[in-house]
Amino acid sequence: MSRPGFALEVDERTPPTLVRSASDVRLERFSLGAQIVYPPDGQAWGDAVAATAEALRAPIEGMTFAARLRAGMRLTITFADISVLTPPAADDPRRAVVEQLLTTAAEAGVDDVVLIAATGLRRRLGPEDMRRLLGERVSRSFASDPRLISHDASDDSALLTIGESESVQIRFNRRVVESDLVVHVSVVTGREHAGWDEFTSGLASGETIDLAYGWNGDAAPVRQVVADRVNLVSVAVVLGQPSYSGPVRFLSAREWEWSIKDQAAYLASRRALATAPVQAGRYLYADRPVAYPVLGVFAGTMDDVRERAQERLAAEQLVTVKGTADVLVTGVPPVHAAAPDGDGSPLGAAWWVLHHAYGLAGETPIVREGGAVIAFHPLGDRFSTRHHGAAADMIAEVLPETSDPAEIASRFLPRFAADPWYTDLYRQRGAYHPLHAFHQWFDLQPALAALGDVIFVGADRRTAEVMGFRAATTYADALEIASTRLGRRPAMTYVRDAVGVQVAVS
Amino acid sequence: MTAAPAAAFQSEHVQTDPPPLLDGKLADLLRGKKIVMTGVTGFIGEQILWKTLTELPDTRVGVLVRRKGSTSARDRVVSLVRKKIFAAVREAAGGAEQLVDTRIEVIEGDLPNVPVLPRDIDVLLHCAGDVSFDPPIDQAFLTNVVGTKALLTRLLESVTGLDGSLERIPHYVHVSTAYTAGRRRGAIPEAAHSHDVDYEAEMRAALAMKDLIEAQSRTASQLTKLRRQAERRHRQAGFLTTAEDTEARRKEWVANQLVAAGTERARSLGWTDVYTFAKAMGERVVADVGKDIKVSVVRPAIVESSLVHPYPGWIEGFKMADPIILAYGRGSLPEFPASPDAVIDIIPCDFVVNAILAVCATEPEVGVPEYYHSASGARNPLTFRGIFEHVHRYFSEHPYGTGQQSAKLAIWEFPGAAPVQRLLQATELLHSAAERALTFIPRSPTTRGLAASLDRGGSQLTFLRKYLSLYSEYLQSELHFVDDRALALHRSLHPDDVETWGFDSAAFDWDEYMVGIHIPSITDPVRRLEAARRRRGERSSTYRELKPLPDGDERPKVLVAFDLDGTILSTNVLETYLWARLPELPVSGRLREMAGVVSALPRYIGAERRDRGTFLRSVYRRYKGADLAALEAFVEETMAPHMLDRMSSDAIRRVRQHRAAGHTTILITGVIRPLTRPLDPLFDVVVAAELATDATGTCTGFLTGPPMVGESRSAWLRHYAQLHGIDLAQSFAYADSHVDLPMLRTVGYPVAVNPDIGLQRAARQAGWSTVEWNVYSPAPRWILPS
Repeated sequence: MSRPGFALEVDERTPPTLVRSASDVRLERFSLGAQIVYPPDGQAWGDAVAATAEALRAPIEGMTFAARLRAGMRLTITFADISVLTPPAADDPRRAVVEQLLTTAAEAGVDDVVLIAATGLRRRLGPEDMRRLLGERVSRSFASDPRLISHDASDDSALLTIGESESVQIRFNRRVVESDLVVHVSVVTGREHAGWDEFTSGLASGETIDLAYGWNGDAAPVRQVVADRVNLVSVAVVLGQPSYSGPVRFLSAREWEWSIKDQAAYLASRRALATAPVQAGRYLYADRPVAYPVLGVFAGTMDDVRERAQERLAAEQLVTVKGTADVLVTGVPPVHAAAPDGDGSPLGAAWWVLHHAYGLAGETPIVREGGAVIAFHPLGDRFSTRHHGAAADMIAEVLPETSDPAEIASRFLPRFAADPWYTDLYRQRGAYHPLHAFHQWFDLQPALAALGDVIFVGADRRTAEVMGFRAATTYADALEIASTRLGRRPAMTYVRDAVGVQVAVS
Repeated sequence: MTAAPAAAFQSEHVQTDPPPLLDGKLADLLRGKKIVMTGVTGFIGEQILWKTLTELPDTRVGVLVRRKGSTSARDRVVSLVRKKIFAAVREAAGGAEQLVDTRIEVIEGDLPNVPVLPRDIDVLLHCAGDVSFDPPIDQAFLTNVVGTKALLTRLLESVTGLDGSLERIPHYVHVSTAYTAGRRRGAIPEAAHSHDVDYEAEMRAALAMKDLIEAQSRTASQLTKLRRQAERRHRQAGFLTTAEDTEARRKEWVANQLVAAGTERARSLGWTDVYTFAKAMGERVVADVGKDIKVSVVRPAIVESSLVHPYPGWIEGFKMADPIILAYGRGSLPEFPASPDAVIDIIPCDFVVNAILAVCATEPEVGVPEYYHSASGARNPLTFRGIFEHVHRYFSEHPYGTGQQSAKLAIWEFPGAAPVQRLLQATELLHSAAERALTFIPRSPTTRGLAASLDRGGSQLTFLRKYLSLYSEYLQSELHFVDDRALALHRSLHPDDVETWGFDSAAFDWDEYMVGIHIPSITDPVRRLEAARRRRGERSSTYRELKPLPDGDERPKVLVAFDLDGTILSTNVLETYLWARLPELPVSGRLREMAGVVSALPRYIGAERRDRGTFLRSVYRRYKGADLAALEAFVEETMAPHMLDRMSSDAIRRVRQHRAAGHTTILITGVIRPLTRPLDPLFDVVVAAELATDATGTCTGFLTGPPMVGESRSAWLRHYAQLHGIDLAQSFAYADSHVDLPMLRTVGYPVAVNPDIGLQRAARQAGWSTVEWNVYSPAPRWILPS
């Protein structure tokens, strides 16, 4: 077992705490009485291969995987894409799962096997991504003919209409629908992982995803139609908190336990980042795979697997803080769910803060209504315009006109979705689907409606203004801004690392 | 109060030998007479016409006006009397056309090609002439000497009978300048200057000089020199651009040589410059040719805005002192090389006009030219120290700009010419050193900022240099123009006329005139102009807002041309070459290739500076042996993401806005065709270099045609536009480097994108918009696509 996470109450002896702002790192001193949420202390342990074999042999309920197979059947293995595991794992557990599934299938004489990455509106995976996810052996043997593919939400020939809701056709990945058996492989590191939503939002058409998860979307009918049509087995690997090692060990080590080496590494990387071009930061962190502990592997029906996996995850990750905070403080790492390539847009950073970090406590908010969020991110224009072209245009053209999600959904979304340039970039060049940026913006709305102030430290003022945030030069200034609404001594919660942790409010 | 120089002579002001005086009201004296005047489209002439039409209702008026392009002389006069000051007379006549029809006889003609003049002229008032201080020598003589002679000859013809004798004796009034005194010193009497220069010989020599210098400018050695200069700036842009610049430089050289020839000739004979020299020769022509008629010469000093008529502060354009006053107000004249006690002889325009028309009413003796000075220096002198105080006071009370635009007003110490010259020289040296250094710094917004501030400094230096060399003589001037005869004439005005027609130069106060009238009259329009320019904002000219084309509308016949490297992508041909070639080579081969490129770099940089086409060819030679199909596939699969990662989102957005507006989008680049494939969806037409292949599909290292650089782009665009009926004047182009100048010049709305210094300057000169498009590559440069 790993050392559990906990909430530290800041006192005189608490050392300055590490804060990440994209590829920058810094130490901030938090005011007395503030709570700092430390995630559990990750340690690489557990064997994904053995755990997978065990899970496949003994599913939660019903037949084993092998028993479901028969020669000549159409088998499709779908798997969650790169966004579920950030930073990337040195040894991705999906490889172990997929390899075993394939071996079992081959033994049962199943030849017609297709692997599909459930990328949804996120960028489609290229050969390099596949290699990283599934390993050299699988990616090479499946790459030759299109049996290892990334879902295409805009490819009419690969989508099949399976129903209708609100006069929108529900279209789903044709191969998945037409398969005799589908195995969905999940990696569980957060509340949203595993389950029907991950599956439907990963493999439906753009319009269908918009219908279910867009503005005022309703996922239930879509989920139902999909569940009725697909014969599905789910396999989920639950992973713990990643731990960094070597020169970046200080990123996950608790500050009072920093060795001389960690302190030196921290100082050195600060120096390097201050002088090196911005790309260096990405080089330093983004491409550095880390080790994850394997907490468990579960197989069975989608709902069973989600329940068990989330249970296991919560047991590992849950940290209880005292009371609802007035101010939630969080950093933004360079690589996160909305920026798995380390080149995220300001919209992605805002999503990470106001959707992911804000929602760490699930339904009960971590910060009170009318409270403030202070986040650290430059919100700059230095991101990949190939990946996030639509987000760039949204920030430049849409948000300056209106930030109202309903208006954006009716006035701008259809035009972006129908734009052949975005579609071409999405289908051919690994860009995010143009709808993705819109959905990110919609995801922020609950937080924006509840919060008084959203303050980004070190942010580009123009972008912050366009998105409706405040920009502060330093953390102290951000506190000053927050204090106009919340007084001099607000209750503060700082989430040291919003990866691999869930928060409960007592 | 400065003591007047005239007082030192301790004599009565009016000379013992008075000029012909006035014996009645001017309106009466000139009643029924016909005055024909030249130069009414000029500053003084306009006011003379106004005054004549307004105050001399019974005087007949003729004007000799030149045709200008397709505008006839009559049309020019009609539009002249549409000006504000003519409002009263115009309304009285019932409109501009009616005013011209009823009161003004328009004679279309030119100097020196004077047409036959009407035979009933009583007074011919010649006030046309160059106002520039540094005209080319031939120009100066043509207008002031040849022109005057031709005009007088026509006048004599018009009063000569068939038998060759004069039928009538007209009065010829010549407007010259007080500075015909040249480099003389002290008191200058109102009389002919004594000198024995042969104006006929000077005239011939001046006109011959033009041919001589034209011929010299066309010699091989001279043209070579000019071509080299042009090449240094424009070689990359192509031969035609270079040729254009060479010819522009030749013309400039000819003009400069003619100016220099004039100045030197003038100085060698004792005049300050060719302007005063030619004017002096003109006076001599008047005396000689006009020996049988009545002749008067009026010599105004520096004519500035009016004191009273038609309204206080009336002025057209900038006169001699005005740029200096403005420059002082802007804070760009820290010191001034004048003698503080030298007199700047300014005279308000209405005084000059009144004096001239009063002279027209006099009856001088035949064969005795009468001279009048219209000047203030003798009796109401304004020294440089004095004008400085007025100007300083004005700008302290009415700062030229406020806030950021405000300038610190200098206190002039008048250290003399030498220290100012030295300071100027040192600054010029520093400036040219910085200029040279700048060409070696890689381009960036910082470099562009540096270049812009350097250019601002440079134009300030040029301004100072020009004014100092032009006016340095006047700044040390120690002459004073005796105006006793003009004063006598003023005193003979009918008492009723004094208020309307007075011209006693001692009758006004400098402080009131400078601070209250003159300086506001020249600075206010400039302030308004600059405020308007600021309101229009930075992105004024060629960067247009684009509106999406409504559905169903016909696409406009407009194209937009985009350059690739540096404009849309932050790449260059060498980098893309290495990306494309290295991955297919083994590691040892990669090293060898890298070493090869690095060792060839100096050669490439040299080629790039000389000619972009040669540079591209030598880089593309390296593709020899590559399999084109494999290259295409590699670009498509592996390089495309890397290239697209380096797109500027601003550029892409702009291309898409153009597409939405229905424009034909064209990518025009020297890059090889395979590398442009990722951008195909954005462009209707892609023009790129095609790699030639042999029978097996292997690249030969050559191109199928010349690379699309420099002028070939403009030629391509013109031809394309012609074939597709596209209006280039409504079209757009975006590019980043000086090489692209011909392409940008082809269209109506060129925009410089992150320009190099050459293009930045060309863009500013041409008034094109410059935009900074953010280009960012998420991956470091040294990472190879794989």
